[in-house]
Amino acid sequence: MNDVLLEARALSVDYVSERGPWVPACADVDLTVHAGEIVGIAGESASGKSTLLTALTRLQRPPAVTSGGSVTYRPRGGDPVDLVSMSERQLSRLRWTEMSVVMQSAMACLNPVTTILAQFRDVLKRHRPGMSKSDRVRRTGELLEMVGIPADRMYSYPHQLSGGMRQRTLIALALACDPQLIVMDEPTTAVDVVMQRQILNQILELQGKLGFAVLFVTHDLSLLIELADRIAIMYAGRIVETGSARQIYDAPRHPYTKGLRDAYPPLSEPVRHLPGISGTPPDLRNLPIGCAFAPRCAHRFDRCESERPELVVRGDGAAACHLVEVER
Amino acid sequence: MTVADQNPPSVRTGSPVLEARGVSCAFGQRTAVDDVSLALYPGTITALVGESGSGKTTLARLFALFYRPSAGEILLDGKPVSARGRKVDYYGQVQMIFQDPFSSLNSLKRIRHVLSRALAVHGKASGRRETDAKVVEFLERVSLTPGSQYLDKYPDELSGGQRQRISIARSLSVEPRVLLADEPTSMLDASIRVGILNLLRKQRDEEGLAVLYITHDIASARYLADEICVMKDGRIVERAPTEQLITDPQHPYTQQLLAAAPDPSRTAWASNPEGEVR
Ligand SMILES: Nc1ncnc2c1ncn2[C@@H]1O[C@H](COP(=O)(O)OP(=O)(O)OP(=O)(O)O)[C@@H](O)[C@H]1O
Ligand SMILES: Nc1ncnc2c1ncn2[C@@H]1O[C@H](COP(=O)(O)OP(=O)(O)OP(=O)(O)O)[C@@H](O)[C@H]1O
Ligand SMILES: [Mg+2]
Ligand SMILES: [Mg+2]
Repeated sequence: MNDVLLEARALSVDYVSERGPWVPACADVDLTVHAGEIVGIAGESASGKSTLLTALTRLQRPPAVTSGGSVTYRPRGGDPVDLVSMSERQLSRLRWTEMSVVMQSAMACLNPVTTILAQFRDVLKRHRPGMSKSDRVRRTGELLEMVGIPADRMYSYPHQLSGGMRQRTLIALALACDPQLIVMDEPTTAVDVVMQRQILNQILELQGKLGFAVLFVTHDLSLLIELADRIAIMYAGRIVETGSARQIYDAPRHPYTKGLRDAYPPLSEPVRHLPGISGTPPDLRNLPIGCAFAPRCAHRFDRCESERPELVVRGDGAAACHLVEVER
Repeated sequence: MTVADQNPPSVRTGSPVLEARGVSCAFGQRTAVDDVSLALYPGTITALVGESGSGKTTLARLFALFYRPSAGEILLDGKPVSARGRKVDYYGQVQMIFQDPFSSLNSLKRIRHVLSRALAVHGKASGRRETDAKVVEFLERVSLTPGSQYLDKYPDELSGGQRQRISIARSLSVEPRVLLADEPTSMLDASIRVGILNLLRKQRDEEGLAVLYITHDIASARYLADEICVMKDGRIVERAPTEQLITDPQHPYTQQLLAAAPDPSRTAWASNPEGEVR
């Protein structure tokens, strides 16, 4: 559990543009995923979560540019490698078997002109060359059933599946070659809670058996609190708080985290008007000098406007907020 | 007779603006929507929840005239909608937000075009100045601020949640009477999501907007909707005013859905409900 599998240090990603200032979508991000660990990322829409995941897995495309930092990955039985400087050829050896990715645009990611089976076959053929044709069909059915899709749906084309089914198909595909790390960007945005629970249990069971690590982005409370060992919260391109699921929800340290938590409508308590976090999301191209959240923060004081708080470790978590420093 | 007809919720007022009467829709051997009747009322938000693959999107698409029902009919203001009628008039009144924001926006067009075209087609603004002002106003309503900064962007330059908000802004800017919203907030963080829910609520109260809100997030359905319909295997298996459905679910699937829903206030570790920032 203590083996570091993936480690990003001071990772910065910009969207380069000729038409205006660059967008610093990720700034100075440190993130560690241990073998067998489940790490969740939540945070504001447009705060850089997808950018971070695509940079970590080298799936980013121009105009995204990694402008600083390193990403170290430790393959099975091998020495750590730096993903940022790796060639595409070396990378392709890691895909599916070492790490697999379910993108946020999952529903648009399946090839529209071939059946689901053909898409599983491609991946299995390439990475499990010893597998016979009938084994591949059997394995495809098995994987689909794992995520609650009847095996005979392997003969369907993507457009014949509902939104949630397409997402689940990609989760199944990510599991196909027993990777060490599964990266998922909002994997269940279209999946009902009953099914979500089934997938969750399925992933946890497999994870217990195979010991892979999961790094995922979600806005879904259930996934975060029930799945994640550790949570990182992003705001304006930076990680502003990390901690255990329990810590983050019981006692959030960053005012943004607290605002986020309090914006979930309750299911059993009386419904009252929820205002959400006041103010407007930050403009990444025009961030304040101090804390990016300060303009919206009810607890701000002078220092927040003049000096950007660094992530400060407290117990098993960390927060980037001057209030946390004042505590001592 | 479907369950829906047997439980007329008390929230209904006046006559429906959009109605499905006994509609069915099949794809080959598979029946996606099976004899469903559902009426949407002005100033009323109807949530549609249910299993993945149960037919929610198909029902919304039937309402939006993307599919033709194999049985039954769609009525606008009590009049059957003819397949040959002018679509522009229909979409001026009935707008749909699609489930997947990654395939529903034209990636070759700038945001200014995406929104101003909707305004122009439905005669809601004319002239560059007026149109831009209106586009910016709607962008800011969905927390895309400052709105002017988004005008020249392409959809590919936006995050998932930003695209979703573009779709919402586009639909609302047409000032429709009915909004068919298929998982419209699934990619938004909780704070921006609740902002959008409040916006829909305001449109309901101030403009009398009728909303079909498809979601898998029961807590948000409870927060927003006047009534909730539960769909399973192509049928509406339960329909009731929101609080009644939440506190006294009748159908086993509804009970299962509620039991599976996350509720932090119910979990043991929510020991510090005040949640003071420390
Ligand atoms: N164009 C199509 N061709 C064939 N089958 C289809 C088509 N569209 C939908 N279906 C099938 O109809 C059923 C209902 O699909 P629909 O998309 O309406 O479900 P849904 O309730 O919206 O699900 P989700 O919550 O996963 O989005 C599914 O079994 C799906 O596979
Ligand atoms: N191709 C691009 N060119 C320019 N800016 C971009 C591009 N892609 C994303 N951005 C910007 O980078 C920022 C971060 O985007 P990202 O997709 O990482 O956000 P996110 O946290 O995943 O948001 P969401 O939860 O809404 O998906 C956003 O402000 C977005 O507008
Ligand atoms: Mg994203
Ligand atoms: Mg759907």
